[in-house]
Amino acid sequence: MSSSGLPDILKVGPLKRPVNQSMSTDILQPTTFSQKGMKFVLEKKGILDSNSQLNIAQIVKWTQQPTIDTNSYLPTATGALAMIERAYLTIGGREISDLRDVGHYNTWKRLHYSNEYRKGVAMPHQGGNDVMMGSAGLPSATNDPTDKRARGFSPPYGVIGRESSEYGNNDYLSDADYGKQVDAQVNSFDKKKRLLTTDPNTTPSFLIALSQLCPVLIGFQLPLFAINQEVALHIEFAPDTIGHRFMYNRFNANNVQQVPAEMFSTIVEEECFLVMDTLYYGDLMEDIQEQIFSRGGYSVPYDDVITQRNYITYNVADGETTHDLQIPLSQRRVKRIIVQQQQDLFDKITAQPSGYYNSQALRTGSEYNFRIDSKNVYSLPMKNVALQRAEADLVEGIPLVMNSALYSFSNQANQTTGEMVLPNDSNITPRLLNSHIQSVESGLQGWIGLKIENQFGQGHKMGIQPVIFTTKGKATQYDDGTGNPTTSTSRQVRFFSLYQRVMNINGGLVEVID
Amino acid sequence: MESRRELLQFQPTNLGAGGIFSPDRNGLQQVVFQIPKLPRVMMGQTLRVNGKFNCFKSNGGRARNATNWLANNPTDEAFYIDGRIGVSSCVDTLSIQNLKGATYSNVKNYNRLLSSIVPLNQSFHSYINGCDDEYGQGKEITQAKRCDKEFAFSIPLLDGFLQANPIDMDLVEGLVITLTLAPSNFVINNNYWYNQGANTPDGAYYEWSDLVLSVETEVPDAKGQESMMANRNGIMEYQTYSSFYNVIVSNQHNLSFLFNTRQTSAIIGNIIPSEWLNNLQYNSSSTPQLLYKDGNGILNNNIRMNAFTYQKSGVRLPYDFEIRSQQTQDQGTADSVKNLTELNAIRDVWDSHNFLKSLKTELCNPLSDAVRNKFDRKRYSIVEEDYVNNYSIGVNYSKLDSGVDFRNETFSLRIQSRLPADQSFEPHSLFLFVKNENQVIFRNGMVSVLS
Repeated sequence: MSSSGLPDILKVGPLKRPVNQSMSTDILQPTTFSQKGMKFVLEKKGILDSNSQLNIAQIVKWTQQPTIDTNSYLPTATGALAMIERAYLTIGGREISDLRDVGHYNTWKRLHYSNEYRKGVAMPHQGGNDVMMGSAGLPSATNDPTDKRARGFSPPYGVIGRESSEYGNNDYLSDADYGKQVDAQVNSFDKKKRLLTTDPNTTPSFLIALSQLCPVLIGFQLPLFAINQEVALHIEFAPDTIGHRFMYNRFNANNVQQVPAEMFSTIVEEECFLVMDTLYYGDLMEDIQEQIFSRGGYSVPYDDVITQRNYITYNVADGETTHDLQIPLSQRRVKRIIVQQQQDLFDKITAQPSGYYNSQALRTGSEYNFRIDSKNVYSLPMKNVALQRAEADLVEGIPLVMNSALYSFSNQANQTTGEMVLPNDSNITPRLLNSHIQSVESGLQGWIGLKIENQFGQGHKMGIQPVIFTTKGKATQYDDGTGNPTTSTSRQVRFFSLYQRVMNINGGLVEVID
Repeated sequence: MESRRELLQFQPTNLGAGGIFSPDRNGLQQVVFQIPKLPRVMMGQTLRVNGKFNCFKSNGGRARNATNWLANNPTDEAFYIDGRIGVSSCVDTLSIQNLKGATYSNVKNYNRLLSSIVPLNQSFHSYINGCDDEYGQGKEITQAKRCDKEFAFSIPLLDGFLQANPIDMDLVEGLVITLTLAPSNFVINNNYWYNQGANTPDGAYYEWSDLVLSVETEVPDAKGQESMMANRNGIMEYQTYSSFYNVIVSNQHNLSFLFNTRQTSAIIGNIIPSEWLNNLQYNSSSTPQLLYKDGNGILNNNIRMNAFTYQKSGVRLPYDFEIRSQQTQDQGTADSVKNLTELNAIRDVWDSHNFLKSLKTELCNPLSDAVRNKFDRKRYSIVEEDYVNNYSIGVNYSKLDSGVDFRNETFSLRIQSRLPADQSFEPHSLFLFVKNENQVIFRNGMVSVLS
């Protein structure tokens, strides 16, 4: 008996013809829970809708004033996924899909969301604050016509930042200037309903789709009814400190300045549950069952992600330095490699609203190349930052939705010395977001991407040699961005390699065969 | 058949000393890339011209845009490039030929074409994001002001030949892509239009350097390559633009052209006061409607646009009525028939390239002649060039994807406007771009282009 092509009802997408369908929703509580992680065991029923949602919440307290709300919020580029470090799906105790550094990987994914989706779906469901717009500089006291123009967007004016008073935030209905710009309302904040409180009863809950946690569920609906093994979702939480699960406001609800190292998060157990949707298709499910139990079952191709971490340091005194990093992907059929170069200096992390979920560019840029099967991928190293961005845009099939001031320091920092004098040198507004200066986010999301798959979506089968990532750059005394000259700067380098796998569902058992 | 992806990179073949291209100083005015004949498929939509952009004052110093620009009107040595098409404004002519000399496409005034067809962005929100997801660094808010530093760019070439189907690099016999750079005073402008009192520099020039052309290709396996090399016959169809230029010298203007194009799908165009072209004091990429001088002698005030009439061989086509807009201009509204017509034309053109997912129309609104061409801040226009409108002209001939045959038949356009009695009419340049279908036939290694 041989396996058969996957039926449409197990794929994510419109069906070719109308079919009878019913759906049920169950609330699953975790079978085990601790502040380190939790586990859900999925019921053996129906077909799992991959858009089922995990509900999750946390509280944040400052040890000095534990009952006062801290005005903390979720990292702006990541949202609720910042609470999760690792998620893996097991069937019969075997790992089918394992995503590590969930928050970091999903930050990359989220950078591709359209602004409409961010504002209408991602931010209400998962928090975060990453819709940026043509913005304005700081207001001046005079507010004369020239100053007003300076807030406009016409050359040479205009910077980029979160929505603030550009749309006329004067909401005094009795005022003749209703709807016009007012220079008093210039800073931005997360919506109050999304601020994390100290009380489990009032802190907001957020929703995460299962497909964000398990790449296997992108494009595939798991036929739970025909699997005779335990299907379980394991979740490990991110560290409970600032920058990981949450970001802090400099001032708490009593307007007292807080100490970030003294703030801690607690996951709210009562708010952790899985909203599991299962689908039923009547006769069609009988066919699937028969195929699985009597006719060889199904071979399901899917994508999974391998994560690897390295650490590199650039010394200012060394000038331009080359780093070679190996990525062992032997015999994997790899579709894409995403490279994150995370700045994890505590002072830098607490100065901006994205926390550890960043990929900080070097002030004077860097060049890179990959070597696959002992051959260079690019005939010329990728030096031009705009081309680097264009390459990253091709990886997911949709481009990054991000202004270039976030991607690199090109056109911002001095490309010889690395110096950038704020606010004038930044293309991001000096206005505040949740008490942090937005200009600090310059060059904060400089991700590198390599698309390997061909036009038919097939990955490249790697030989036994590891992939080698070569990056060349130099540190300047300004690279840490802390305001004080430094002698070196370091990056935690993460590689997310998306590769193809195949699982076989046969006789009620699931086995990964490639 | 297995295939793999490969990004090809090419340096210009006419790379001179220092690798600098500059139409005015220290460099060459033409950039030539040669792409060899290879058995692989090229994804033209991924083609990018990458490099670094610098501009300098006439004495070699930098502009001083960054001097407290967040707070004040720049008064000292500031200059800019167009904020919407950015570095693409440097490309005056784009020519695509094969290595044997056959021409696939030749677009003159490419930068003016882009002033019409570069969408405002994929959506309203991505535009206000300052986001630049389609054009690398070729189009975004930050470019408009930041000419005081070197920056990298990566621009696509919006030519129908490249933007259409994947290209068989073997069958087309390789490619030669030639960019002729626009003069510096076309690309760069100072602050004169906004502030005639500003002490602006008396000269400026720009340079391109570190140029690399990159394009994604699909490389078939050995068997696939053999079959590509064995194939000598095929047909390619793509849309291309032909450029026409006219000067509007009165408020009752008639023009007539012989396009000689077969399947003509659209005509789009834009206007600019002739004085503004190649003039350091004005943005040569701007697209206002007809203007007359204000009390200070600056072209600031809108001439009321009354009607557009499109004709083919003397017969009104595709509308058998005049497109009149004076009423709606009086009211300052956006739904005039003229406006609807031009938007349809532009939208259809853009749709054909999948550039646009939604249209932000405000830039295209005809302005009332009661207001200046610059919006004031009480009008909450939320696009970058909120002082300047984008007044595009156009008509769409291919609603049913068939187009109109203009071979041996003249195209005529009548533009009626109303100039205030005591004002003189300044010459305005009209750029028209005819979008038509080209067909290339490959037969035993010979290439013939039908338009």
